[in-house]
Amino acid sequence: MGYIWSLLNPVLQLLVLTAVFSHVVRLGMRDYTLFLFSGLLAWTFFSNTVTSASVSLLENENFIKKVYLPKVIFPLCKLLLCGIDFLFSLAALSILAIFLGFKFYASVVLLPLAMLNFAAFVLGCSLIASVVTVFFRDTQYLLTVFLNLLYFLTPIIYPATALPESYQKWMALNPMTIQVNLFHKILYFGTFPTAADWLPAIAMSAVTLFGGLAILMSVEDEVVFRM
Amino acid sequence: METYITLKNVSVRFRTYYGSSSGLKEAVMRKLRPPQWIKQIPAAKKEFWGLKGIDLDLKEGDRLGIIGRNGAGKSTLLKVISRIYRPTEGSCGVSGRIAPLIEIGAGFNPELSGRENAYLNGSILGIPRREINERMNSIVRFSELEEFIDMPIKYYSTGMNLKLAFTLATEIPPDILILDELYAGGDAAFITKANVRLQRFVDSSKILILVAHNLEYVQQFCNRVIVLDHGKIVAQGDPKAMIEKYLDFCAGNAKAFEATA
Repeated sequence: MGYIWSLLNPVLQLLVLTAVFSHVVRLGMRDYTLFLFSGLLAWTFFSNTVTSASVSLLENENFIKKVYLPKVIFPLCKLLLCGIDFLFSLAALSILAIFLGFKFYASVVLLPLAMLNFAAFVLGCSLIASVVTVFFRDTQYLLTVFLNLLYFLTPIIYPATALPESYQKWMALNPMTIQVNLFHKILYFGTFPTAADWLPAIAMSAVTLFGGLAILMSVEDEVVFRM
Repeated sequence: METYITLKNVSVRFRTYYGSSSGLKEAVMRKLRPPQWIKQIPAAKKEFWGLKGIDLDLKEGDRLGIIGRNGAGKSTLLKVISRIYRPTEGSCGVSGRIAPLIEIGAGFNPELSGRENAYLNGSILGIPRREINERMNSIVRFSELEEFIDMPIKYYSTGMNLKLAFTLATEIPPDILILDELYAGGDAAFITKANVRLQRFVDSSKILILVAHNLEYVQQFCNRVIVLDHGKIVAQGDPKAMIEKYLDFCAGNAKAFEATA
């Protein structure tokens, strides 16, 4: 029952956005729900993980001050929790998609790979967010605003092609665009992503993950004194 | 593997951060303020040394008692040994499995039941789930929590928390047992039982570190005592002599206070 409950949010969100964008704001896309589904899943995983990980060190002050644990455990734990949520949402929305008459393309076999790569990116962001929040407490409020902005700057509820051409190249600089692009290709367009899709995404994930780990390790011993 | 603790010239510096000055806003504002204003901003940081130049060598068979007044650095020293604090200066080398009982209920999650906390605590202490499974019955029996083991521990009394924490820390004898103010809140029956278990642990010749304001325990369990004051070791040696010295010091302090009053 608990699992069904946690699925309510993504399903409802998807239905609301579908209703708004297929009847109120018309984008003139085919299978808009499927487009939304592929981007929104990735976004929800990203945003939930980073938001909860950002306070993961602070809320475990009790543990950090009283027993020794490698600090990476706390954000990693949030990633796993949100990852499980993500998998359940994926399963539920897939069933919904089949029910609505959408078909899955052969490219879906690459989904696990895209997810793994994305998880590395999300973990990197989470590590950075968790550390920054310890040193600058007020960033947890800024993070909400920032995520909101990023949500609208990433092609999730609209396709990048809906923008004027001059904006599109700026959008390509957004790390989330690069990541979400893989999910769009695999789930919505049904094409196998090319090296030009994979390389920037994998490079971005690697840099973020190792950067995040490096930042965490460099201040790990300082964290307990800042609680 | 040999169990040992080696502290060389360990110092720990604390900085105090005032609540509102630890945000990004303040960090940016400080940068943006014209230089001539800076003098008017009160220093946001203050620092003090919780420990200063501590040298300590413990080998198997050492049972160390740490005594000293409030704020002398006793708990800080324990936290350095259990790797919670990294020394600002000096080095700390520890070999062996540590069970730190620094505060009652440290590492417990109040929302989880006693049983679930046993697994959580086990994994923090490095005890596999299977081993906790095997020992669950004896944990429940020793901690006298038969009726309450499946209740969230936020409903536990201080004494119940203590019983569970003590039982978990000592169920599988660790190489190094660290006890801070043990037994605070335990009833006489449990304390007697715990003493027997502790004595058995002490006899099996690993390292014990004990912080207690109740000097009887120090006398009973320890074969070495250090007296801490203001983050420094002011005296060390035989328990009996050290306790006397400490009591003299406290008595002197009380007299000095009387004189000024």
